[in-house]
Amino acid sequence: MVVKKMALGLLAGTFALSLPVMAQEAATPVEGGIVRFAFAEESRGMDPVTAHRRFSEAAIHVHDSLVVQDTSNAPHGALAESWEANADASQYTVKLKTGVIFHDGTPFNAASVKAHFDRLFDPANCCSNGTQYMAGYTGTDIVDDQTVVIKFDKPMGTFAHYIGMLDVTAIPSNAAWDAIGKDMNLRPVGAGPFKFVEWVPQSHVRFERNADYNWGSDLFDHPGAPYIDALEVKFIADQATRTACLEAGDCDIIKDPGFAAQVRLGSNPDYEMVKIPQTGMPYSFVFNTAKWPTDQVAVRKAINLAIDREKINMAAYLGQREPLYSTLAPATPEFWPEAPSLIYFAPDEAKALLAEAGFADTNGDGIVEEGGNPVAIDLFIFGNREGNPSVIVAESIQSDLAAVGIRVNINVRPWDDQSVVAMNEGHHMINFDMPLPTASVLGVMFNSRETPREGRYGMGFTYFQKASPDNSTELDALLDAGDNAATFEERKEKFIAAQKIIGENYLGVPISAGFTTYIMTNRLEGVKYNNAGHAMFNDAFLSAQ
Amino acid sequence: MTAYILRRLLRSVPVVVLVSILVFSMVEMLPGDPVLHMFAGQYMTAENMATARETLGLDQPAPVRYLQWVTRVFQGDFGTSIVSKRPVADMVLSVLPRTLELAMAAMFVTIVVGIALGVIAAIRQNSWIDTLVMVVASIGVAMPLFWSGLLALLYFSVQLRWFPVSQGASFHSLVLPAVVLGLQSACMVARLTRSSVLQVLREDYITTARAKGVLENRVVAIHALRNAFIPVFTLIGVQTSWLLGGTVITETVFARPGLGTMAVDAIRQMDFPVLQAIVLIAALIYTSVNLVVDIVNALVDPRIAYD
Amino acid sequence: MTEEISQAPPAAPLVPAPERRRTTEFDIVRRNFLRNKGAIIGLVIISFLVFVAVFADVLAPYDPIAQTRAFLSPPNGTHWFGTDVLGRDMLSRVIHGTRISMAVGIGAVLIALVIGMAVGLLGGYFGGRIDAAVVMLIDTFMSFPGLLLAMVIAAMFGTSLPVVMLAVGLGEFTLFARLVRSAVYAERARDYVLASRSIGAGSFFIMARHVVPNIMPSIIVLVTLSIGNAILSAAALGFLGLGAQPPIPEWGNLVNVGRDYIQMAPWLIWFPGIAIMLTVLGANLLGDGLRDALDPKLRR
Repeated sequence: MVVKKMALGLLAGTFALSLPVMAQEAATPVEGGIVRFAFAEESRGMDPVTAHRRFSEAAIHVHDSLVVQDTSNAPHGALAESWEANADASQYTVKLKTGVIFHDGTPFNAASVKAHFDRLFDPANCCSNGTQYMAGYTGTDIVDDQTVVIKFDKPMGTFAHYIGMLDVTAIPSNAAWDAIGKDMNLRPVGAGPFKFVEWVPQSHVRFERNADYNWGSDLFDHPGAPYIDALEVKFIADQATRTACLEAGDCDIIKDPGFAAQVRLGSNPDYEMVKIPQTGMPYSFVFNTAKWPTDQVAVRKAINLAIDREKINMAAYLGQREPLYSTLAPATPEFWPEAPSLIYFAPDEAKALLAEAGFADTNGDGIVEEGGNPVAIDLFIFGNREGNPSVIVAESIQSDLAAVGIRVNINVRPWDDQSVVAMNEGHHMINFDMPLPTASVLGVMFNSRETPREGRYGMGFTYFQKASPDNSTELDALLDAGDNAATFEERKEKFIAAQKIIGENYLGVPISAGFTTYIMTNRLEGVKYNNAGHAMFNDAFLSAQ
Repeated sequence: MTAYILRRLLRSVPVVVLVSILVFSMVEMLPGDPVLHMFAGQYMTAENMATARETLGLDQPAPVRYLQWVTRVFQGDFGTSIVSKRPVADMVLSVLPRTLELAMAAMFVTIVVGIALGVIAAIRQNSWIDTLVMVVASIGVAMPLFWSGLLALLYFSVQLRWFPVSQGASFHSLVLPAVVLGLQSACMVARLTRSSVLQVLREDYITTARAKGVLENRVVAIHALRNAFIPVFTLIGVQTSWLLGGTVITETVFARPGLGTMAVDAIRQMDFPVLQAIVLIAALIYTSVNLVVDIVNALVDPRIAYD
Repeated sequence: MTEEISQAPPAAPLVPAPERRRTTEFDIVRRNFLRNKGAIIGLVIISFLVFVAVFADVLAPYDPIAQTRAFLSPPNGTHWFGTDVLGRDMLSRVIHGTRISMAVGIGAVLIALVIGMAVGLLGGYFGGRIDAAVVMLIDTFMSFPGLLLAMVIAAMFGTSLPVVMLAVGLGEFTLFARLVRSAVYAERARDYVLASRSIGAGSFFIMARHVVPNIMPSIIVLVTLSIGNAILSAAALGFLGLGAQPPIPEWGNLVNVGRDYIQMAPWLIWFPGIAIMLTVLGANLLGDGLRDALDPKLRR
């Protein structure tokens, strides 16, 4: 059994036992062959400007970004030779690599970068993610053909983290954009290691090796063109089918196999399993703090203490993930080590908390009441796709909370319904999963600016400002300060203070931290991963066996 | 005959119109705001939403949008998918052949297996063969398609490796889904074929033919089968509807690209232009197949045309 | 006129009933039915399942939603059907699922019956334009593949048991509408209808009162046969995740959840699947038996 766990940056402790991975590959690369790579969600476009963030990971093969970050968040220049921020982190000077050519033959230079960032902020390309991560962007100055200055109207320490994000700094060909516009989503033209060949909807995208490529990042073992001739990304929504594809030899590597398959194939010497710990806010719930009874800290804490996360981990995830006791996953760089002391499994204490707060079962139906109103929680889960154990998690929570006298109504909605539900404020507990690489994810979920309202989609589902305006204002200030901090130390300090407020007010229910998991045939070697857990095939080859 | 065909054609026009209204309004009534779905998980402002609403034409009243939609559909334009941002017509066309090949292969299995078993059971009425066929057919009809599909996938593809698991465009990958879908449909057809043939066998002219000493096999082959043709052929028209529904399940179980999986995804993602297109196309396929069936039946037996 | 009619004793027998008990229609039906092996098997299966559904609380060895630490135990002495991923007893879940599936099947068919009868009576009785409209409506609904229609309806109204019933019922009402409509057409020309019309009592309801008893046997057969289909459609919706909400142990949903563990724990899909199959088989056999017994044309 070969199971690799990738270590993530600044974390100690939890994953310290990870194997030293990169050093293992000694085999000589073999040229040629096709790698068939299957994951679940069909791309929703492959252009960094207009594609949907969650569903565009196939784009990474066509596009190189300015910077690429490895699984420990360490940045490696890709299209950028070097980059540096000014003192207050409001301007970034980026030196670009020379000799980079887009797949359409046009050269990559400072003008390409400027055109791209300006395009992100063109209202005609409504709502691209770049605008979210580069808030305060005022423009790009071209210093010379290989140097740009990216400017913001405020300190933007976070840009140093987002600079490796595909949907922010992957640079498409400007000429191609001018020629085909939004069709770039369907026929992307970038400067990446692979060229786009075809996209058969509901089936696959095919890429071929970019023979001219010689500007690979030093994250890879070699800067040159990929060894393999072609890469086929298959969209197989069904987990079992994805696993079967691998076992039948029709796929070489699959992403996110089912937990049952992880148990089974993890011990099979013909396969190799790679597990990259998630960061940010993995599988969790947050409370609507503006609605009775979750407007009361006692109830929120009781719910947190009543949930048996070990059981959920063993049942829903077959032991293939880790129970999560903190708002941020321990693998996140800005993680507050004290956070897990606030959340633990103690159903008796949960009952006592409820009793203390005046909740009692007066009519003997097993559900506690306050002033005659039974404590019933509307819990929303999303994504009733196959292989999503949300329903099992929810049923487990339902049973745990019933044991302390809280009734849970489970509502299963399609993934995209999240915003609709939140906007109607019908939820007490709402599920989400945001394994982003930085603590800035806290801002997305807890900054009152992000509260959804008419005409404004947002992910702030807690309505914290309604229930506790003072705490909320303080939290907002800390989150903004963290995002704008010029240095990592300052950033971490602000985010730790924010985690403290979030933790002590029990704004959320962390459940489980997972791994981005790959299983591949042991013939496939040299696959590398970035900090978002995406697989990259610059160094990949199929050994002869 | 021409008059009948014309009449029959005319009769399907209002049905098609009604179908299109129903499709449009049902999808219209789906809960949730398509614009929110369009941008779910992304940053957006009120202006962005208004722009998107205008682009989608959602600022118009429903009847106006219906007319616009119908007009565009007549020009082969089903709009743009909210989720993938691709033209719906392209999306549908790219998977339509996969669904049609599945439905047609399953129909082939249905006809060959179903009719053969039904006829054998009928001419050997009350024999052990008849009993066996009827027992198997009764059980086959009662099996949920998703269940038999899952079991077939587990045992024949995953464990025995007889068939590929991933659903490429090869003939080999078509076999198992088509057989699973076709066999269940064959069970329905076998039962009906049996009773049709039995009914015909009891009619006077067959008795006469028998009395005249025509060989038994000839009686069945020529007289009985020809007359049992119409009910069985009509059944194929009805079976089309069942098969189109069945492809949804079969494609989902075998994770096969097609209209069915696309419809399931469209419902989950609230991708209303795609859903409208698929439901409309499925209804049109059914309507045209039944039109053809009726006309062929009328050609075979001209009495039908004068009913 | 109307008054006189309403004052007349209802259905007074003109001829006194004979003393000796005659062989009634019911006896023939019963004899035909009991001679049919399939029908008996169907009756036994359905009676058994109705019994299970009614006494589910007593029969189920465990609480169907009680979670234990015995995750995914294979079938054994304590858990005959094994346990699911949350350690819940599969036998108890399948037993409670009987109640759900039966209720949904019967509910859906009743919805189909009510809508179908209303539509069919309207068209058959009034004829002309109304009938043309009814035929068009039936044709329209028939041209949607049943499952697709049910999926859209389930998505439209949100997933809950009543919605599943409605979704499945709307897919099946055309069968009843067609049956009732043609029966009414045939009855229209009969003497008693003409008579009740000529005396001014030709109201829609009198018609319905005359026609419905006459087609009752066909309706009973169709209802029985449709229940099997309705259960299959409802299970398919459950399998697609458009059925009952958790933790309701609906059979289709059980298969859907078990699907992720199909290689590790095939019992999660075997037992609910067998339960669905058995129920549908029972309903179909019973329906076939009733049809053969009730419908003289098909008697052999």
